Amino acid sequence: MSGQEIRVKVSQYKIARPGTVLKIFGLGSCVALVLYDPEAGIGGLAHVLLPGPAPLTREGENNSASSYKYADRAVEALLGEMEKQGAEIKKLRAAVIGGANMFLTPDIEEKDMPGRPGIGSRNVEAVKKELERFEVPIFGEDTGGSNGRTITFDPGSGEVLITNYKGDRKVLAPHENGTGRMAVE
Amino acid sequence: MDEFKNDRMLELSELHIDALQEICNIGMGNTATALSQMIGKQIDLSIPRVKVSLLSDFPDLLGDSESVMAAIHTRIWGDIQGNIMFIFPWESARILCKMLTGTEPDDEFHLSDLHVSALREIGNILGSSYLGALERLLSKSLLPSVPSVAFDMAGAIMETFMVQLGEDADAAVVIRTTFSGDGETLNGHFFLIPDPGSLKMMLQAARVLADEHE
Repeated sequence: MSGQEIRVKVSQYKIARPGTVLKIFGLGSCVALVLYDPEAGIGGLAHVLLPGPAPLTREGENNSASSYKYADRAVEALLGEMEKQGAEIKKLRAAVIGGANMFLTPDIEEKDMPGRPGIGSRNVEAVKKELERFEVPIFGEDTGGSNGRTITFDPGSGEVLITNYKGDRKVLAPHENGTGRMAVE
Repeated sequence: MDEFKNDRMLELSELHIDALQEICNIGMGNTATALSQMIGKQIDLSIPRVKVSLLSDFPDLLGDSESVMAAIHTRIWGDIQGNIMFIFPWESARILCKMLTGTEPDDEFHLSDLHVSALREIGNILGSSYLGALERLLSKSLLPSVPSVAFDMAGAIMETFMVQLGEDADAAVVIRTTFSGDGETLNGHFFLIPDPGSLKMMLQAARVLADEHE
C-alpha cells in the first residue's frame, strides 16, 4: 500500500482511486461511510457528524459545505460525486463504521432527550436508512460500543482496516458477490 | 476554511478575549487550589487561550488525535450553559489515580471501576470549584451535572463535543488552559466551551458587552 493518504475530517467526504488510502483518525460517535465500486476501481469515504435531516434554507435546499455533517446530505453527496467520477450506483458496496458512545454516563450524549438511543446509534441508523433508500448493500459493519476507532480504507482492495487505542485490529472486506466477510486478525 | 459560513459564529474582539481569559483565570485559580490540596503538590497554570475553533478542527485541539487521554466532562446548566472538561494524558491519569487511591492502573491502558470513580470525583471537585468561582464573579447560576468519564483517543473524545455543538453551529469559542504539578510529571488540559447561545450572556455578565433588553 504505497502512495498517498488522504485524511477525511468531520463533515467532509473524499474520493480516491487505488494507490491512495482514505483515513479517519479517532472516530468516536461520528459515523464513517465507505462506498466502493470494485469494477470502476473507485472508493469514497464520508465522515458524518449528525443523523439529520439537514435543516432547509430559505430557498428550500441546503447545499452549504457544512450541511455534509448530516447523514442524508453526506450520503447523497458522496453517491453523486462517485457517480460523476465513473462509479455505477448499482455496483456500489458500503461499509458503516463508528457510532460509539464515548462517555460512561450518557448525559453529554443526550442533553435534551434522556431515554432516546445515543447519538452514535442514531447516526448509524440514519446512514443505513439512506443506503437502503439508494439500495446500496452493506458488506461490512463495525458500529457501537464505547471505543473510538481509527479507520483506513483502501480503494484498491475495498478493505477497511479498523484499529483502536488498545491495539485491536479488524478488517472489513467485500466479497466479489458483495455480501462480504469479516476477518479479525 | 471559508467553506464554513455561519452567521451565528461570534466575532470576538480583543476586549472579549481579555474578559474570557480573565474569567477562566479566576475559575482555574480556584480549581488549582482545590487540586493542589487534594494531591498535596503545587499546581502551575498556563495563561488561558481563547479561540474560535471550527468543529472540524476539534479532534486536533489536543495535538495527536490518536493519543490516549482520560477525559472528565461536566455539563453546565443554569443561566449559562456549556461544557467544561478536564483531560489528562494517560501517564498523568495514572499518576493521579495512584495519588488518590493508592493503587496504580496497569500499563495496558485499563482503568478499573475504582479509578474511574476516582477520576469522576476529581471532576466533581474541580468542576464545582471552577463553576463556584464563575458564579461569584458573574452573579449567574451555573450548576454542574454529574461528571462523566471517557478514556480513549483524543479525537474520539472531542467528537462528542462536536456532536453536541454541531446542531447549532459550525464553530465554537474554546477557552483552554493547561496545568502541571509535581514538576511536570502531572499535566492536564482544561476546556471551557460555552454553548453558542450562552456566550453573549457571559460577556454581558462580565460587563464587556452591553446588556440588551428586548
